[in-house]
Amino acid sequence: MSEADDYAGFVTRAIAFAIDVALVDLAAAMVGIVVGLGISALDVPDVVVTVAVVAGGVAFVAWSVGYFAMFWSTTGQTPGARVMGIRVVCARSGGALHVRAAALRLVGMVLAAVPFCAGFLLILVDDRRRGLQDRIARSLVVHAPRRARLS
Amino acid sequence: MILGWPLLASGLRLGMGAGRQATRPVRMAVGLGQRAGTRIAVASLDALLGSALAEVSTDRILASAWTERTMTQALTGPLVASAAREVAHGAVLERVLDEVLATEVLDHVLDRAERAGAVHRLAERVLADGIVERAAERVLSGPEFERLVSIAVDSPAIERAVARSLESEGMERIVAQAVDSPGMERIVTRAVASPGMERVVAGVFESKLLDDVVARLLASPGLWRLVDEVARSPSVAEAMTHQGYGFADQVADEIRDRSRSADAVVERTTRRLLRRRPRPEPPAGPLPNPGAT
Repeated sequence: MSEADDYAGFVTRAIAFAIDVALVDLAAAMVGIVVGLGISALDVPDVVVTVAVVAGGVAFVAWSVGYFAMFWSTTGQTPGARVMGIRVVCARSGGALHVRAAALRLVGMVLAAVPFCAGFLLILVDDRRRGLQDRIARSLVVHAPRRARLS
Repeated sequence: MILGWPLLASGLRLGMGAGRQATRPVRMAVGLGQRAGTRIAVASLDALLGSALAEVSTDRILASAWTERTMTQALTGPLVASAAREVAHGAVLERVLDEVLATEVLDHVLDRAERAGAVHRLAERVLADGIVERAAERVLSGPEFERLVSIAVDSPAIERAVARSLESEGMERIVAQAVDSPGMERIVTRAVASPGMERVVAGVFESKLLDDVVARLLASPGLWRLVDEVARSPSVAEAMTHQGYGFADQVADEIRDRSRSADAVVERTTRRLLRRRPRPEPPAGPLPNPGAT
């Protein structure tokens, strides 16, 4: 069986997800530091700081949702998935997920994490290596064919 | 008048048929003569290549000062230049080349010469005596060779002849035969190792002729068309893609391989702990993957 003919497993997907989370958090942290430095330079009231923190939280959620939903619904590969050579596809069409399915998958990931990540552990026992998020969004995670290697 | 035309036509047909029948034995005799001539020529070549006389004669001819003088005079004289010009502009060269490449006579000659070892012996002698070196030095130092090359390069007839000979099956056969022969390998090895060859090559690189040839090549639009064709070829494109395969890709590949092994180990262990059956193999054929197409 060739490498593209198999579903991606738990460890590969966990590493890809870790890379994505690191990227999302790093970008958010950079923005937070810059905004924080700007606010500290000005004498702003506490209420403005509170509002900025709430806005930052909302922006972070929006950024995270946008990051995953955009990559899943366009190329099917987030940067982490690209590094690990895997791809999220629609179980029925084999193509990229629809934006709604991508958003649903993200909700599924949150739900999977709630019961002590038990939703993710389904990957280990499912024949098609589907987690709770894959069952909800009707998606699959497959290995993408890698580039030709120099001999 | 109306009846006369069919009668005339029938008469003509009858006459032509009778003529064809009458000349048939002559044509057969000519064909037999040609075949016999080829056989005799090949047999004579065999005898010549096998004889010690040919070897001694070649030695003497190559070693004599007369040969060297004749070569120099021929190159400096107007005869070679005018003959070259005639050959370059006439269509005779093309016709002769076509004939030679179409028949198998040249094949025969090369094959016999190779089998008799004559080519090898001659090449060894020529290289050992420094004849090639002396001749090359003389040719490169004088303006004659440059003149001949200029005539050849400017000639459309030679260009056509070279193009046709390169496309012909005969040339392919001859080149394949020459390249495959062990004698050729020995000759090339010997020639490359000789100090004389080194000096000749150095002379070529220092000569003005090489600069001229390179300048003409660079100025010709044909060369750039060729370069464009090569650059567009799929094999070159693939090689360029491979060039972009760097250290980061190698690391990522290694990580992927290891993570896949880890996937299998973790999954097997979990299923064993939960007393579940091992995961069945995925169905044959590619899985849904838009990136694979």
